[in-house]
Amino acid sequence: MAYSDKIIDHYNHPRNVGSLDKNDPNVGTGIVGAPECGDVMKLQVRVNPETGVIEDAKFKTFGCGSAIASSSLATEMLKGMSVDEAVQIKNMRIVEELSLPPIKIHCSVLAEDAIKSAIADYKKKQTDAEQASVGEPAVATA
Amino acid sequence: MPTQTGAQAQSLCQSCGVVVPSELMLCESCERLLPLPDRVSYFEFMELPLKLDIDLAALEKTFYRLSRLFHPDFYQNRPNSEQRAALERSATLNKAYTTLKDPTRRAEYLMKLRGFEQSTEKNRVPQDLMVEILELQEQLEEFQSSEGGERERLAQALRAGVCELKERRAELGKRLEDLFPIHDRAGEDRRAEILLEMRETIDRSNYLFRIVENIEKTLESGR
Repeated sequence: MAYSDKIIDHYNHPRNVGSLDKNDPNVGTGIVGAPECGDVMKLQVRVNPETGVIEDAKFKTFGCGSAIASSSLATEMLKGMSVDEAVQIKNMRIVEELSLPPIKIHCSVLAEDAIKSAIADYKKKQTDAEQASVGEPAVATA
Repeated sequence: MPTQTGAQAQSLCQSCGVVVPSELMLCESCERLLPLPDRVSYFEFMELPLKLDIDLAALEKTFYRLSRLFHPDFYQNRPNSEQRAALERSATLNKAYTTLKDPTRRAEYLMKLRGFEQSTEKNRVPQDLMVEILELQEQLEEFQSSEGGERERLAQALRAGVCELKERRAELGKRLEDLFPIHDRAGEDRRAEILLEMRETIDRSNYLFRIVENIEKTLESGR
């Protein structure tokens, strides 16, 4: 079973490897893992709070080549996308773009989970911040 | 005798018509070996109750006894159907033995029997461990791109890390086996909760195994 050129390219030259400041309120972090194979994937997005558009995306993946390629491709897809579009990304899109072999489909599922988890983290930070700012005057007058 | 796990539907020998113990499907009257029904679990097959805290010595004894009983060599002069059955039975026996002998595989097998399926829900992911693994992975990358004394220092730190991870993995293995008798005694209402704890323990252990393997491989190859 040969891997596609695209998988090998993403594996040899992964895009957007690195970290964003996880304490930044505009950064969402998703860390997911696959206990069956021991893979761990961290994916982060930085969102422009005015427009809701993802301006930057980074990843770090500990796992097989397909897991690395899946998360590398995911970060490329995310940049320029709105948060609402991002949560719609389905793993099959990654499977198709990379021509992942059937036994590696779970790697794309992991990437989808990482995206959803990162966006959920960003949204949670936003609502927490809103609630905190609503709560502030009450605290001040108390 | 293989009757500890409750009554199965009775099976009849296709050759002489007597009742055959359904876990073995070996006719005691005419010694014909019949095809094994799918519903027989490894526990039943190895004459064990459906429990996790098992008697390993008994398991081994059953394995040797059944190995002789089903050995394909003894069926060479029998009809094809029986030769096939003997071969099949020996393969099942080996799978049953290796599955039940290993505590983790035994627990996972029982989970499957109980319909407690592995799910990839994110709440199963231990976040603290994920972060730790990513940090270790970064240390490993740092080692790979370092040279000289710095490289030696990083290698030492990683080796110490591996020792500690192995200890933790051994502790998880012990915890899993401690849960076995608790599981076996628990009623229906608490069983799911205990199976979940086992699942988490095995997951953590799997993650540790992978990162240890990866660090050791890198340190060995030096790349």
